[in-house]
Amino acid sequence: MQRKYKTPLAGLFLLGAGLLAVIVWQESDPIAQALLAPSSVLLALLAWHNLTPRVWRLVVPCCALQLAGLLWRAPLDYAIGLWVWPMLLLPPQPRALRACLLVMAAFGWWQVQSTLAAPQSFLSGMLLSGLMILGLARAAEHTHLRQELENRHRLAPGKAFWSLSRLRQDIEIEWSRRQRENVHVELLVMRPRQRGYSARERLGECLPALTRAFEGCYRVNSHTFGVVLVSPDAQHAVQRRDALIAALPMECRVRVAAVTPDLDPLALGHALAMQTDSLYLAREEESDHA
Amino acid sequence: MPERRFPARFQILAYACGTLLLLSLTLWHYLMGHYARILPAAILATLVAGAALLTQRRYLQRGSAYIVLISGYLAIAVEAPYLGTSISLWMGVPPILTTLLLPPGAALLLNMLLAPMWLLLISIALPAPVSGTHYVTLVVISILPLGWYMQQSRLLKSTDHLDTRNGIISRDTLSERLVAEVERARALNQSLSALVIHLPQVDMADEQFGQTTRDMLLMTFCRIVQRGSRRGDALGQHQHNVFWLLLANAGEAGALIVRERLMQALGETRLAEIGAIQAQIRICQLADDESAERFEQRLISRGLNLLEPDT
Repeated sequence: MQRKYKTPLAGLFLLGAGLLAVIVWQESDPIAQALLAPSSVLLALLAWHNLTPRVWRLVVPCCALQLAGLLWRAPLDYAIGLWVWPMLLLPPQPRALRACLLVMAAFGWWQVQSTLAAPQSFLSGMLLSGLMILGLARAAEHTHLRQELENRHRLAPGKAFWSLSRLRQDIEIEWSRRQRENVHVELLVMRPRQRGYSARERLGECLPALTRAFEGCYRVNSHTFGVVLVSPDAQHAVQRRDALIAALPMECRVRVAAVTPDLDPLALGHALAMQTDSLYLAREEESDHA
Repeated sequence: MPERRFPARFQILAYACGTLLLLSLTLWHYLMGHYARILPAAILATLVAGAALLTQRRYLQRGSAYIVLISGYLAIAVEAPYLGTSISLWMGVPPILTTLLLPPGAALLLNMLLAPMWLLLISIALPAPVSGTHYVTLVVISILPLGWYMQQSRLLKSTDHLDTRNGIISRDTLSERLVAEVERARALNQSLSALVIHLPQVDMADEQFGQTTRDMLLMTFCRIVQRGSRRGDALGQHQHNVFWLLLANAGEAGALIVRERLMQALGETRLAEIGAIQAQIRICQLADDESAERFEQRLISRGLNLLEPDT
């Protein structure tokens, strides 16, 4: 999605992959080679990929397993790899994986310390635990960054595509405008039937073009998009909604709800995930009643 | 980059670990009779302990991180000649410490600058090419896990200025919003009015009393406008002292009422150094067949008229 924000980063990933490839080339032990080569390929692949938290969730265990294998196979040559453990704690990942990494780091240290004299093995163990704690402290910054990301309004610079927190705010504004202006306002949430990142990305690219400037496009959750449609009356609303659904670039499941102050877009998104029909209209009475 | 906030408890724990490490090193040297190496280790232990104490103050966090970093460097450099072949393990510590303590860009730069020094120290015991490759690989790879963090914080920074601040829309977003409001008025067959508001005191407040006073003036103005207008009416800053208030579904009469209400509320407010807030307000109406661009041009020229001194 934000391709231009990762070019220097992609260069670093390629550099890392290249350096690992050099190490593989210098290595004579086939098993160590087999352990290092996949990491090199993995880093090269990552350079072309979007670094979403989901990608990291796959990459971190892979790297951890390879590192553990390497420290087990050649603790003397790759002792320096021991210090990569604290860095593996940094990417966004579930808590269980972090605990797992701590155990694996202890295993890695155990492999390495067998080659060292007693005082050095003690000191290295202590240093590793200190660095792991520092890594945890640094990883906690991500939580903070995540909160800030949730609170921002615009998802990408220059695009009229907005976040969930903006949608919540706009729902309240649209509700008060609806009462003043006597218009028909409804929230459409949609989810492509096709699975996969590319389908969602395509829908996300198309939506701002399909909607008019005053109809906001929102990202409700990672699978669901939302559009607030404003029409003069219910009849126009049906026409507008049908036209929009017909223009969508792929088959989507759609759920429609009239905008009320207590409308929760996330709950709507969850209901949409369960929905089997292509189109579901929340009853009109609800809005009239409210 | 957003403000760095270490959870202080974790950090103190890590620094305490470092202190303990250096103290054990001192003790080991004492037991072994390496009396010359006791003093450096003891001093570094004291430094790291001091850094652990300093961490509690937020503004000292960066400083304490640097103290720990330098202590780590010195400890490795002092011990390096005695480490023998196991130096290949210990050489990995400085780059990792740098990456964990400093922002990614600075860490990468520092690691690369210090590379010759560390490689010289390694070359005492080990063949340089292999250990050099290992060192550089470690430096590059240790930055990569921060990739997501770097990417997102840069994105956050670049989208940040486009969002609203204190309920005032910034200039770029304002014209986008104007286009949306005009299109909405057309689609719903409604009228659209805009108030162009000039606050002459903004310049004066900035020059005479500084930024705090100016911010207070703007915040008070914003609060008064929000109270005096309806929910969903967009207030945007077109120039530093010219504001647009877009009134959807409001004809001339409605806009006049809002203008009177605002003038009255602004006149009644008393600010500490400025007194009552002066404002000049002009009303613009969207004509029947006017495009959004034309309307925007008209608002801009109305704003320029307001900026000219009265003749």
